[in-house]
Amino acid sequence: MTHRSQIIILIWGLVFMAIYGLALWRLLHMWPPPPANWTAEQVAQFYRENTLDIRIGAMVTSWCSAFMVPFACVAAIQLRRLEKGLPVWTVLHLAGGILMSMFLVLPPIFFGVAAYTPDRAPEITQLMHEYGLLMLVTTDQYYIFMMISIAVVSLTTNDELTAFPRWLGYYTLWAALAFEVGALAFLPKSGPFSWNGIMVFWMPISVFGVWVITTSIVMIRAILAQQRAEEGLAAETVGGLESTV
Amino acid sequence: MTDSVSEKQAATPTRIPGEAGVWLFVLGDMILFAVMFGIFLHYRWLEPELFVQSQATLNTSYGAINVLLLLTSSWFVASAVERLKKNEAREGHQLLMGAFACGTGFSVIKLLEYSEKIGAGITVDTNTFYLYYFFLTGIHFLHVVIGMFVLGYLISKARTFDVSRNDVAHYESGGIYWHMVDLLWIVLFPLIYLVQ
Repeated sequence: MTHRSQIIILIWGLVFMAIYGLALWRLLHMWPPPPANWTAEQVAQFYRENTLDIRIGAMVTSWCSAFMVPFACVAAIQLRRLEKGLPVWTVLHLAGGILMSMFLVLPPIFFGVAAYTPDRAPEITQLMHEYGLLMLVTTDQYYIFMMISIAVVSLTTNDELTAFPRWLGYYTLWAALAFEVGALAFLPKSGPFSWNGIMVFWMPISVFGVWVITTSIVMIRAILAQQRAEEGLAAETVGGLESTV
Repeated sequence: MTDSVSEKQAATPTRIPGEAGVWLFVLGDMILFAVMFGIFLHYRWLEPELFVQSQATLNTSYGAINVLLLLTSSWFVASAVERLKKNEAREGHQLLMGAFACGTGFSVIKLLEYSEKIGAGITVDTNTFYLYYFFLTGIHFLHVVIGMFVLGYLISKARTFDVSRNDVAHYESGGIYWHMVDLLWIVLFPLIYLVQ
């Protein structure tokens, strides 16, 4: 049962992530975001024109934007399986994973607030808009702890049924490093390092998506293998008992 | 005789130094830097005069000394791995310390260079050249700092290293990462400091 529960909540998270991505793209119109050098009037115009779309987007994401919570829970359970002694890295992963989720939850709310009263003074709408977008792309704070925990446990343990093979450990290290570039979006307002640029938007968002999907698939396969191993063990025990009887 | 040798070669698969995962990491990181080099060249092509003028204010000596420091450190790391393979832990440990010292030297010069620029009122906001100068060298510097932690970890384990008990692949992997940091600077230095 616990194996199936892990797989169910993991897929639940992936489905919600897909909906979140679609909402970001089609409803919130933030995939890719509008240029960072827009004037307050341009931003206000954008929210006036798309007010309903964006409010519906904010509503949809209100239901599904916490999609990293189940992922972090399953990953933490799988880390706990591997970690010997006190579960230091497991707890760090869970804390990091849960908290980083906040920065995916909050931006759509800010976009929704910006679109909620689009006729207010343009500078105020611009403030909400900038708040939302910079939060979406620059928030690397918790990823580090979340991902380094997976990398450390992956590279320091040796288990046949591990959910985190060594290559995934190295891949996770690289992904963590690639994310760190996002924070640079505070500095330029145009070019590849601004919030709609290749280095700050496209690269981290694709690295993130591919990393979450890859890690989930690897975890699901490991969980299935763990289930088979346990069932095999249980069958063996039953067989052993019968033969002794 | 020749037959048995070639059979043996065919039977043992070619061994990759370190482990496959490290190469995955290095490849990913090199792609990342290749994209950034492309970005730099693109903006250079858009504003050639601004780039040449701004480039002239950079301290080429700092950049060149850092090339030498990283090349030397790479030699130290490669020699250390060779020594450890021969189970010469003491020599391996000393050579790794040499690599660490070179990395420290690189960092000191980098910080000196940044502080001189900032002291002269040059920041990321000055112009496009300096924006990419600070970003590219800064991201590379982050890699150097991470590499110093990797070296520190390897040094802490090297003194008691024993080929029969420990895995030399860890040292090879760390070495591969450090060589990448070195290689990236060898490309970055001419790209940012020299190309006219």
